[in-house]
Formats: sequence, C-alpha cells, structure tokens
Amino acid sequence: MPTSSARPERLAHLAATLAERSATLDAQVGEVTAALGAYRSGCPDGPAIGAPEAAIHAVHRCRNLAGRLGRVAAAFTRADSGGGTTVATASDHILALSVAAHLAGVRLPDALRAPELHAVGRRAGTQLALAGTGEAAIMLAGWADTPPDAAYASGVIDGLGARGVEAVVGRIARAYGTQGWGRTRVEATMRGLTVLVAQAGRSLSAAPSYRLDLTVIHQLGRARAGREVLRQIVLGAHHLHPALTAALGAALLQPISGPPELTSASRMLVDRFDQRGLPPGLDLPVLRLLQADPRAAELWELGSPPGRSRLAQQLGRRSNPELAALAGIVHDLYVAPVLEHRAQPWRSPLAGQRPHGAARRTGEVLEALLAAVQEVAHPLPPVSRVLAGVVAAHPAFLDHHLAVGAYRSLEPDPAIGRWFEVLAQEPVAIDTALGALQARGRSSAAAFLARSAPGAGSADALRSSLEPIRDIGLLLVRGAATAGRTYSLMTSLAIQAVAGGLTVGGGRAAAAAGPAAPVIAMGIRVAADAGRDEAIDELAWSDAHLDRAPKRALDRSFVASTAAAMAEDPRWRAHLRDVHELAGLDVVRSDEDWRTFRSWMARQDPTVRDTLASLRP
Amino acid sequence: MPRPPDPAVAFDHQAAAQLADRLETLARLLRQAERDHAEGVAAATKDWRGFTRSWFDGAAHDVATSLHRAAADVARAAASVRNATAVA
Repeated sequence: MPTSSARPERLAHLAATLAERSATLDAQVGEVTAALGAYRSGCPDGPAIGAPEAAIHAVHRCRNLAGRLGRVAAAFTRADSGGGTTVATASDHILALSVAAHLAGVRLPDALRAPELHAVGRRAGTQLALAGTGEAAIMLAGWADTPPDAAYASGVIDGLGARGVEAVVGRIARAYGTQGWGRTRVEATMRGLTVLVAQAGRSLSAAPSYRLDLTVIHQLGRARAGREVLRQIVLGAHHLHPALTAALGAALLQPISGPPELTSASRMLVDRFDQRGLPPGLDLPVLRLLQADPRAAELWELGSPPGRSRLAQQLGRRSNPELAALAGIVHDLYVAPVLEHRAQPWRSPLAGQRPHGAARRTGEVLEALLAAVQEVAHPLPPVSRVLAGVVAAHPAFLDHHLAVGAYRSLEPDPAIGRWFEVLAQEPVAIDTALGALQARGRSSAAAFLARSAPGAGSADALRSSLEPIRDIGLLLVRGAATAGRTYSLMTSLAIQAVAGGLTVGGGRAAAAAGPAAPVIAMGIRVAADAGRDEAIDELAWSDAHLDRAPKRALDRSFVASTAAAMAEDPRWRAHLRDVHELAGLDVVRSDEDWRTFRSWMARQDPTVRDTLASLRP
Repeated sequence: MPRPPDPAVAFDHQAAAQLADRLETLARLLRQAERDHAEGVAAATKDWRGFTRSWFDGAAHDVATSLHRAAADVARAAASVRNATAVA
C-alpha cells in the first residue's frame, strides 16, 4: 500500500511562520489603509492610489495555508506508524482519513471507499459546525478550489445538518460583511459551499447508504434564514443533480409566512444579487435552474401534492421575468412532449370524460397559464412562444374555452383574447400558431371528406367541423391587430400560403398525376414568379383596408386548402370539374385569381359548390 | 498681457509622505515574507512524500506568487506617491 512521509515539526514550524508573517502584514495593511484615507482627503489632485488589494489577497493566502498546513502536520503526527522518529510515516489510506476529517481542498487518494469517505465527511461536517469563523471560512473556501468526492460531501452536509449550515453561513456573513476584503472572503466561502452541495448532490445517483439526505434542503427551506442560504447556493450553481435541483425548487418556491427579516445573510444576498445584475427577492436563479434541466423540472412538478400543480401555482403568482422562465418549463413539460408524440394532449371536459392524472395536471397548468397571461404587462418572447406552442399542442384547450365563452355570452372568453394579444408580440409565435391552425384545418377537412361521401348535408357538417379552427384564426387576427402585428401576420399568411400549396398532398404530389396536381400547385407561383419578399409586400400593402386583409386572406386559405383536400380524396375528386383551371392560382394574394377560383366553384357539381361556398367569406 | 496664475493644486505633503513610507514598509515586509516562505518551503519539503505533498506544492506556489505580485504592486504605488511629492 502506498505510504506518505514528512517531518511534522517542520511543517508546523512553517505554518507558525506563515501565521506570524500574515499577522505582521495584516497590521501593516491596516497602517496603509489609514494613511490612504488621509492622503485621499489631503491630496485630491495627487495620483489615485487604490486599496492594497493584492497585499490583502496575499495575506489571505498566507493565513489560509498556515491553517491548513498545521492540520496536515497534526494529521501526520496522529497517523505516524514510524515509532516516534523525526520523519513520520503513514499509509496513504490512514493519513487520508485523518486529513479529510480536518481539512478541505486536498485531493485524496482514489483508494478510499465511499462508505469511509462518507463517514469521514460526517466528522468534518461536525467539526465545521463547531469551528471558529475563520477556520470555517478557510475550510469552505478550500472546497471551491478542489471539489470533494460526492460521498464525502454528502457526509459533510449530514454532519453539519440544516441548522449547522445556517449557523456557519450566518457567522461568516456577520463577521466579514459585504465590503472590500470581507466580501471577497464571503464570495470564496459561498463558492465553496455551492461546490460542496453540488458534489453532495452527485451522491444521489449512488448507493442509499451514503446518499445526500434531501431533508436538509427541505428543513433549510422552512425558515427565512435557511432559505437565504439556499438562495446563496443557487446563485452560483450550475448542472446540479436533477433531484437536488427539484428539492431546491420545492424548498425555495413555496410561500413562507412571517414578516421579512433583514439578516446578515439577506444583506449578503442583496449584495451578491446586485453584483450579478439581478434584483433582490426574485426566485429567478432557481427557476432558471429548473428551466435548464427538464428532468429536474419534471421531478419538481411530480412532487406536487395531489391536485395542486406546483408549476400552476407559480404561474399564478409570478410576473416577468420569472414568468418567462416558467413559460420555458411549461414548454418543456407540457408542449414539446405532445408535439413530439411523447404525451397525451389535453382533453376537454366537454368531451364527456373527466381528465385524469397527467391530463388533469396539464389542464391545471394551462388554466393557470391562461390566468397568468391576463396579468402579463410586458410580454417576453418566451411567453409568446409558449402560448403559440399550446395552440399547436393543445388545440382542444382553446376550443373548450371558446365554447364556454360562447355559451355564456356569445363572445370568447376575454382571457383567450388576451392570450392571442400576448402571443402576437412575437413574429415567430405568430408563424407557429398560424402554421398549427392551417395544418389543423387541412387535416380536419381531409378527415371529414374521407369519412363523408358527397351529398346533402356535407356543407353544414364540414363548416361545423372547421368553425372552431376559423374562430381561433380570427382571434389570432384580432390579437395581431391589437398588438400592432398585422404586418407580421400577413407575412406569415403569405409564406404559409406558399408552403401550404407544397404540403397539401405531401410526397404524393410529386408523383402527381391526376387532377390534384394543379390544385396542389396553388400558391407556388407567388414564390416562383415574384420572389417571396416582393409577394409579402404586395400582399400586405395592396389592400386599402389593411385591418380586413388578414381575415380575408385567412378565409380564402381555408377554402383553397379544402378544395385541395377534395382533389386528393378519391370520392370527392370524381365530382370535380376542370381542375386544371386552378393551376397557378394565388387565391390568398390576388383578387383576380380569387375571382377565377370563384368562377370555377360556380361551375362545380352542386355538392362541391355548396360545400366550398359554405366556407366562403 | 500678464499671465493668469496657475490654479492652486491641493497636495498635503505630510499625508503623501506618510503614505509613501507605509507603502514602502509594506513592500519590504512582503518581499521579506516571500524570502522566508521560500526558505520555509525548502525545509518543510525535505522528506515529504505522498498525496499531501502534491497539494502543498500547488498551495505554496500560489502563496509565493501572490506575495511577489503584491510586493511589486505596493512598490509601484509608493513610487507613484513619491514622484507626485517631488513635482507638487
């Protein structure tokens, strides 16, 4: 087994020398600081001389090494198996256990097993709780430089306990304050504590016997001072274990009763927030940690009490920029999985079935999002995008609210109107929502045509199936107008009219044969002949009544895409006449082409004509 | 045309001299500490082997570097104050 050796008395002598030198230097730094004050007031025109920061830093390094070296000397003496000669000899294993119980920041040999590390970490934690302020600060700062092993770190936290963590941080904050040199020491200490907790979090993937007990985090979250310590940890944390992030979220984001209290730790917190350009009092750092790690956000949300989604509660309570972080979490948990077919969409209670489990939680979160949207004063892009994502992933949710609103007052729920106003702040969100609506319109029309033979009653039935989609489209038009984004909406319509022509029929269009081909080509000419940007300009500004243009374009696109769907359906295609006349028509952009389309419609079989006419603006 | 008098320059020579003295003392103490540290390290590392030695080498180097840098900084500040005293 590898061994270590040293002369403990020489180590101790060097430690004493360093301690003595640091005291002398510290005193002289004090002299310089006093003279600096007199110089600054007496010589305002003299050269600017700053505080002796480098000297202060050097004193700190000397004092730090002195303390740690003394502990290594003592560890050698304790572990010596050499029989009292001047050179102490010890197995690395025994020496490491002795060092680790008293000292932070020394990289230990790999041979130590996790249970041993955890046990020795507990001893170190117990000692840290009892240590003087200076010693505790040195020990914590040591972990910032050399991250400890996960099992050891979880042992330290166990040994300290919630009250120990709170007490140590409070002592250090009170002793060093938030100015100059004191602030530097506090920063180093907090970095060390953050590293210690992050490393302890890594033990959560290990065997239960030396896993971090997350009760400590929950206990800290119950008291104001403990919460402030957690906020200090979160402020500098990155890439924590998901279960630890979830625990921090649960501890920090729950409301706490009692009056606010300005403790030493909270003054330090304000200062550290300020340095990072964050207003104090925000829970943004922990929300961002949750947002950056969907697994952690999921664990946090799954830990909610039955029927009370944590995410939903937060949505109702927050404003920007915290709301933007929460929007990111909503997207990751409730929008993206549905769009990627990894989860069930929301089901309307009007469909005759009460939502259960995950669907109910989704419903709660979306309801809270709807309520929160009404309070959003200054929408941010992430919020707009997540609202657009919901349009795509949970269309039934909006249908449900439209139906409820119409039942009550024949007008949509005002919250839904606000939804589209906020959504329309962001052009990308308009694109997403419009694309989702048009895709839904096409697929609904195609599905309807596939199951309904041409005949009496087709028109009413088709119109009923497309009505909710059109209503949502009109809300988008209205929202864009209120948000001053009509031009963005028209841009999206122009682009998607082109894209729609290409996508109706999909790959089969290329093979194309048959009467569907000309219809599929509708809109393509816009891009081919005029160029996209020119087409957009013409579309958006050619109409004297810009406020009516988007609604008209939306309606025309519904009719045209339904005609395309008819051309693709074998039973309906048999009833179409002169399909070739539709080749190259741009019904969305061109009034002339629209007239040609209507003339074509007038010459169709009555079933086809009535069905399309029922959708006509 | 008579030349207007130069604006008065506020400069307390006594305060400047005191600061320069104290900075020079601090620079001297820092250099002394650096020398003592080098000697102490040489003595302490005799017969020192194992994982704690690796840690110490890094930590001792950091201390030496910070003492050296601090001595140079403080000496520069002292020289700046002395120079200002000479021309004021």
